[in-house]
Parts: sequence; structure tokens; C-alpha cells
Amino acid sequence: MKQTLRIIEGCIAGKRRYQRKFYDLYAVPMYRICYRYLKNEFDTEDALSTGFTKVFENLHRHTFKSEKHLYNWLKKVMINESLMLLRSQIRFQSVEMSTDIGGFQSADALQQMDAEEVYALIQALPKGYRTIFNLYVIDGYSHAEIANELDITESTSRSQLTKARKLLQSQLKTLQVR
Amino acid sequence: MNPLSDKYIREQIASLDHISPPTNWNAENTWHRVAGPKIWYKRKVYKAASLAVILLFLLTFFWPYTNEPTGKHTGPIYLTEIEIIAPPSTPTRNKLSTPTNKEVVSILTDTVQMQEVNTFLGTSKEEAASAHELAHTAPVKEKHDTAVKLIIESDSTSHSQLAQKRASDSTSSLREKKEEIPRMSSPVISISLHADHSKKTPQKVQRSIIKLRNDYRYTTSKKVYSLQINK
Repeated sequence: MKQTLRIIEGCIAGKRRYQRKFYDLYAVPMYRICYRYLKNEFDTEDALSTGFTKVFENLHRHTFKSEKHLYNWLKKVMINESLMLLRSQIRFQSVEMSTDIGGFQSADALQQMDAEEVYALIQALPKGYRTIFNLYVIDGYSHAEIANELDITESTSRSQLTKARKLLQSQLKTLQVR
Repeated sequence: MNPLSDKYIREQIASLDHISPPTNWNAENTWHRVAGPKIWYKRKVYKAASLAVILLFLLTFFWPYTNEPTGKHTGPIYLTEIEIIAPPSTPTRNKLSTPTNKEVVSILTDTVQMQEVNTFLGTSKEEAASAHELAHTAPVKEKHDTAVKLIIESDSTSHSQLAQKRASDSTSSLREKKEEIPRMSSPVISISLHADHSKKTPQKVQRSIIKLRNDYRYTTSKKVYSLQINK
């Protein structure tokens, strides 16, 4: 943490060398987070560059007790930037379920998958479902926070999450059948 | 799916965070975009500095005009007209209807040429002659019988006599005086005087000259000089 704090101090002082170190430390995970939401390289780069610029501008306003604290703050900034780009694109609509998911043991099938497969599965969800699923399941937002971030009602957030889960289960079943 | 599945998904996705993404993303390009705004801030500073310089220039240029309403005159003073107010007892043909019944005799003089004359003051004989010539070229509204040429000299002892002599002479004799100028070592100030009457005696004119010289010296901040002619 001491080294990270020194880097942060250098960033606050506006030293380019330290900003570059900070960027090298967090660029990959933040890119992953943005890409998980945006699923588009160009949009992800936009969100990432804007996000890091805001991070460097606002670092001096925060005191970080641990690296996890810093990481969570960075993550939140990047998610916000991604949502900024997504807001105009998301159309919350229902997707027809093609298969009956009754009685399917999705949890078991899921645990047989590795991380990249799970990642690909989530990425295959429609934009609206994916966003709600990412926010609620992976990043730990509440429905109230999601409603606030996306300017929707909490019930819309809940229903979208339910539909996302069902779609995910149907995809898992398809994979299981193969 | 149940909460256990959620936890599993979260862990799996989190484990991928530090692995390079499966795209053609170039971190260096994004870094240049992040560093770009710093350059933008520098440009902003340069723009602000340029604007400040322009404002300073404009303020410097218009500052003299902003001081005019306060009555302070910062620029050069241009002498455009000299008036001599004669007492009512002075014999004259043109009386003004002022309450004090004083006669105003106009003296027209060219300010610029006055200044040019002053720049030549007492430097050399040639310059003195040039100065005198310049004084002669001053636009004077002459009448045949009333034009009087006054030469005011800074030396009040020897040159006042010379001035008296010259004032009493006619316009035609001025060229001769022009030749005498180089002999004077003191600065010369020439003023062309146009009086409305020719009845003034040389002594009166001399006194007027002395008064005129004094007033000229002590009231240079005025544009119009009012001089009292003593009898």
C-alpha cells in the first residue's frame, strides 16, 4: 500500500511518470470492467480514457485506507462512465424464452464452466439484461441504485434481472444438451 | 439460479479482471488519450495568457481617453489662440460689448510652429535663424495697416529693447531683423501678433510683450491665454 500511496501522491502532484505507473497498474482490470458493460472496443476505450482522466482530476479528494478501497472507487468511476455511454443505447424489453427451463439444474451446469465461459455467457446477454445482471450480480449494486443510475424504476430493474437469469439458464441448458 | 450461483459467477468474473482482455486493445493508445487533456489544459493556459495580453494592450491604448472626463490632460498642450484683453481706455476702433468693456485683440499663432521654434532655442546661429523663419511663416491674419510683429526674447534686459524696436517696425523690416537673430545667444520665442489698430505706441506694445511673456511662461497648461495689455 505504501508504494501505491506514493504513486497516488505523485499523481496528485501532476507528475506524468506516476500517472503512467498508476495507469499501468489499473488499466487492464478497468478495461475488463468497461468491456463487460459495453462489449465494444471503441466505447470501452472511450469510457476508460474519460474514466482515468476523471480519476486523476479527483484523486486528491479521496483518502484511501486500503488498495481494495481504491480499487472499488476506480471500479465505480469506470462503471459510471460505461453507464453514461449505455444510457442512450439500452432499450429494456422482454426477450422470448425459446426453451422451457423447468427442472434444469443451472447451478450445477454453471460450476462445470470455467471463468472465460461464464464471462462469454454473460456477454451473450442482450444489452439491457447484461447491464442489470452486471450491476446487481457482479458489481453488487442494489435495485434502488440501479434504478437511480439507469433512470428506471426498481420494479423494472427486478423484472429485467429475473428475465436475465432465465435467459442465462436457458443458455446454460443449451450448452448442457450439447 | 440461486444466490450461490451469483457468488460463483462473481468470483469467476473477478478472477478474470487481471488477465489481458481478449481484444486487440492497445493500452498505449488509451494512455495517450488520457494524457491528452493535460495538453489541452496547457492550451487553455496559453489562450488565457494571450487574452490577458490583448486586454492589457487595449487598456494601455484606451487609458488616456478614460482620463479625459476627470479634467486631467495627459497629452501635449497645443496653443491655438492667444487673446490680449486691453483695458477700456486703450484707443481702439473695435469695442466689444462685454460688461467690462474691454477690448479683445486676437493673436493667432500656429502651435506646431511654436513648438518647432522652441526646439531650436539657442543652439546655434543657423538654428536660431531657422527658428525665426519658422515664426515668420506662422499664419497671421494680416491687415494692411494693423499687422504688428512681436518678438519675445527670454533675456529681459538686452532683448526687451530689441523687441521694442522690432515691434515698432513695419512688416517689411522683419527680413532685416531676421539677419540680426543669429547674434542673439539666448533662446528666442516668436509670436505673430495681429492687432486691430495701429495706434499703439511702441512702449505700450513692449509692456504687452513683457506681460505676454510672463503669462506664457506661467500658464502653459491652458489652451487659451488671456493677457492684459498695460497702458
